[in-house]
Amino acid sequence: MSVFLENEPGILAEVLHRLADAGVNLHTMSVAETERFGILRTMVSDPDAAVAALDELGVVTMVVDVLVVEVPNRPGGLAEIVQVFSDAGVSVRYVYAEMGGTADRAVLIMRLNPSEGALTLLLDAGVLG
Amino acid sequence: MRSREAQTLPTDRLRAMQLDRLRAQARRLFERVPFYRARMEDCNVTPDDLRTLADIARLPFTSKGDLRETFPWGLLAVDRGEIVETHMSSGTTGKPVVDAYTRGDLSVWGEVMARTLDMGGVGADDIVQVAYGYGLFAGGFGAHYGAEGLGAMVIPISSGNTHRQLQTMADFGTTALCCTPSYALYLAEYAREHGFTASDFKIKCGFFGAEPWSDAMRTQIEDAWGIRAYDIYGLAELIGPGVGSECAEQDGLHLYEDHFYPEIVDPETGVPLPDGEKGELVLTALTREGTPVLRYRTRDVTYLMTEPCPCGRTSRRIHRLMGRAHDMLIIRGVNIFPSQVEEVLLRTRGVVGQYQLVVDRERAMDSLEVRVEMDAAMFSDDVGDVMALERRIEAELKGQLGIQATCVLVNPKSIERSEGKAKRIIDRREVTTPV
Repeated sequence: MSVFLENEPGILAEVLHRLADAGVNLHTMSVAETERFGILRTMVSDPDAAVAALDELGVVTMVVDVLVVEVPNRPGGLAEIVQVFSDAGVSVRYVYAEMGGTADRAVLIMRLNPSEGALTLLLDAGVLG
Repeated sequence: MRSREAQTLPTDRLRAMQLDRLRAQARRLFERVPFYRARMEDCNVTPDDLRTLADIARLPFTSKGDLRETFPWGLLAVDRGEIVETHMSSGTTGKPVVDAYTRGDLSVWGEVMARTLDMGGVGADDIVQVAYGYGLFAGGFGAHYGAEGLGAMVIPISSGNTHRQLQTMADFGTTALCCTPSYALYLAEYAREHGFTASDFKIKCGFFGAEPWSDAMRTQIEDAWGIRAYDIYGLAELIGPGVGSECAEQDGLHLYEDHFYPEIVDPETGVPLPDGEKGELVLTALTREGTPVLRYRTRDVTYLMTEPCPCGRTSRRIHRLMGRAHDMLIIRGVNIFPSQVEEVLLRTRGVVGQYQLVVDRERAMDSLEVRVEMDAAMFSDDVGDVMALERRIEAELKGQLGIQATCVLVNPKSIERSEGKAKRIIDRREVTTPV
């Protein structure tokens, strides 16, 4: 899910507290920020509870499809995957890495446009190892 | 045209009639209402000093505060027994304002509202659905008396109960709708969502007022309903709806000058401004009997249009309202009204959410920040999309206002509201004087 963060001190802390109070665990998280606002992107244990908790707080949320990919931790590992999307005309709107990768695998969260069929593209291309 | 003679009177005859009526009204108020007599004495003026219409500037203004302080009967100009109906404005602060009508006042009210509906093409064969509230609020009764005066069929459904409004429009074949502009849009939206189609309705025009609205909103209403949408103007202090209205040209609102005398004054100094200059509208009730007001400060900002109207009516028109006098901001020498920002948001987003203007001064340079509440429809988790929206709003604001403004998106419902109304302006330009 993604959360609009207005440019007010403490807003991120407030959002995270509300999620914690609702018993929602964050599996991944990243924040994109600009001068005037931020966007929190996170994968949560219970999206419904998360949306409800944040609605109550009065912030705007949206639930989006993302692709979670394990990438071999070697030079060119991500390049191969992105090349598949590039060849198929799928654009990568953003990508971030999960905090808990391992020594030989990195976990990436990708938001694609269009998102439908993205996994099939990777399977067909045989880049997932 | 309804009352063609009165509405197309040559200007010189109209002015002569206004002067006669102004003198008579000032005389009545001087003799019968101690409040007005005291005010005139304070200004060293008597009704005999009114030799030309320009002499009206010697008379004292009346403010909303005056009307409240004299609640309930302090401004009554006839015996209580002659009053047959009263309406009251909803006083959001302090005491309400009373408008008390004699039999003659009701007949004038019916006449000016009949002219209003007639301008939009309503006649005896029409079915007029009055969805303004009936009660102390003057909207419902005003529209009702006007439709009745034309011999049209009135459906006095009053406000609320949206499904029944639409079902009634469909069942009876309503041809004209009277309500607030925002409710007209809501009705259209509700109709779409609940399976009504254009073929269910026979509506051809609507008369919308009681709240400020923009040309962009007019286009929305006209497109949604396939009708002509007319802006109507009035205020409880003068008579209710029926002070002025748009004709088929939809280019300014004709004032019913045989009953209401308009002036435009500088909102700060109260000095009268020439026709065509923008300022605060001041109105005098020339023919009211119950509670006539003298030089009432409406706080509405507009200007008087004097060019002849192709419709043939000779009355001056007011440009559709440009804002409230106390809402006007002067930023870097440019006059700015919240309504202009509203127009931009309607154009760029399709809806008017809540917004707020924050004015600040940094090193002698004024800055304008427009805060707009985010909603789910505007949100994208792509930073570029949200920034593009901000930039688009800023570009439109620049075009509309003539000055640079910064758009800041904020959380829904985060803009401070008082009594349900959003606080539109925060001005932080405090001038501090060193002691």
